[in-house]
Amino acid sequence: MTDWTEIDNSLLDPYWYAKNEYHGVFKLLRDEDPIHLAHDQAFGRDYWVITRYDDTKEYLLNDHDLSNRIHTHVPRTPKRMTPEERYAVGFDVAYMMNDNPLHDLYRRPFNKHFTPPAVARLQGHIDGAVDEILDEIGEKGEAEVVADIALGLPTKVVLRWLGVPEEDWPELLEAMWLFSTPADPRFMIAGDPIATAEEGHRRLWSYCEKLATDRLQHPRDDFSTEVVNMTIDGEPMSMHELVVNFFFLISGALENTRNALSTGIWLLGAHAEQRALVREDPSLMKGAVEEVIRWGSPSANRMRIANRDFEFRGHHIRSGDWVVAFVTSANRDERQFKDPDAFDVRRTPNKHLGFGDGVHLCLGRNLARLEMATMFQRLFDRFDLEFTEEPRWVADAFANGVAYMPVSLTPAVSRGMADVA
Amino acid sequence: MSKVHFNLADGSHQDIEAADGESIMKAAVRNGVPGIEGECGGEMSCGTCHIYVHSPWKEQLHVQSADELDLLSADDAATEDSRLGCQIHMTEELDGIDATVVHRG
Repeated sequence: MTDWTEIDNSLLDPYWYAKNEYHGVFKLLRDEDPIHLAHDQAFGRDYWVITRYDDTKEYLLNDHDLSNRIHTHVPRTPKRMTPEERYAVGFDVAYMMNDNPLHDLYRRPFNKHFTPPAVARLQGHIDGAVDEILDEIGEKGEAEVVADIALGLPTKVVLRWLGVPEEDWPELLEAMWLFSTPADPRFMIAGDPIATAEEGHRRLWSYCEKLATDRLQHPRDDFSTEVVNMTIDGEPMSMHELVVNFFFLISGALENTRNALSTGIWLLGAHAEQRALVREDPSLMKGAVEEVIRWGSPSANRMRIANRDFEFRGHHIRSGDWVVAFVTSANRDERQFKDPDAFDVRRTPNKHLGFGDGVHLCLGRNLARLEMATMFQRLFDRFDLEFTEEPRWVADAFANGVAYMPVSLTPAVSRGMADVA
Repeated sequence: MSKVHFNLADGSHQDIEAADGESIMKAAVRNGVPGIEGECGGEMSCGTCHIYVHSPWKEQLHVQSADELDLLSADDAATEDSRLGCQIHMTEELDGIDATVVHRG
């Protein structure tokens, strides 16, 4: 007998995800009740649970019936946010928390900085950051993959691009950890993940205020200066709009890329045959990056609010219902992906939903792809990794990734030498 | 149905059929036109459906929106004839339009 109560109460439980045994439950949901109404007593509110690929795709593309106006992920509490509270965290102007036409108004100025050709201009900068990291860990002969590599790379790339001085990085990173993984016992304040996340949010916000103020007064040759010079409807952004944009640029770039990189290093490190395939044919790296995103789904689920009563695949969704799509399940749907639990760098087609789809498709996806491809290539070219402890997974209902993964490093036998041998 | 005539980056040509109202990007992706990726699905966030539409066809099109021009401005390959394929929706009047795929070195 399936215990639906236990399933419903687990779906938003961070510790359930840290155990990394949830894929079996999502398979059950896909097979037995793919559009499931969860009575989640632990969370304190009912919500629809979408777990199949086709349904998730349709859901992501239907921004007419399904709104982002409350949040893009399930909030940490079901309590309604007042307008004052929404303003305080910037949801009033953050494009990911808004629908069109407001969404496009706020997002469009950023798009051109994240296209493949725009991002390709950062390649040299990314190469430099990767080499710095690999030199550092090479000297030590060991690394903690998450902090040293997976967070290290987007930190160097994005904070330098934004022109954040290096002496400010530790304070920014600590704020990020509190905000993004508040249930992690290493960071939790007074056993309270909600208070921990709020404290992280407050610190990151106040840093963004400092950054915006500084660039308005002292323009430099960096992306922060470009941001403060952006216009909305032909007018400069307000201080509030600037802070919100910096906040989500930084938090999005660091957290999601960290999780994607750590998962990828674990996957490629643990699958020698897949690593060998990419080594022999570097053109497979592009596919390897996509497969890491599919397999790992760093951003695990999405939330929307029904704008009106509507029929969704035979279910009657009511205006105001909360509807959650579990991308982590959609990306493992056997109906779309053959042998979905296997990590296969040659998987084609691989139309995963890891970056979302439709109007809210991840802004930074092309930057993340380039960072991942560059790091994977150079890391495994230079080193053989040995996992010295079992990796620990992020305790979070919304983000998937490795939280802690120590490795020892030995210089890789060069391919030329291996060929001779 | 109307036709789009593609001049491909390797010098060859490809003719495809597009439904009325369908964007050139969607029709190209559906037909596997090389060099048209349409990665963002038509949300004007990727620029991977960048094409050139020369005279006399370019005068037949709606002029670019500020957002389209802004996105194109980030591409070094952009010229006065640059368009995003996702922003051109096919009509009978555009039957036979010439579109040139951007050559990427």
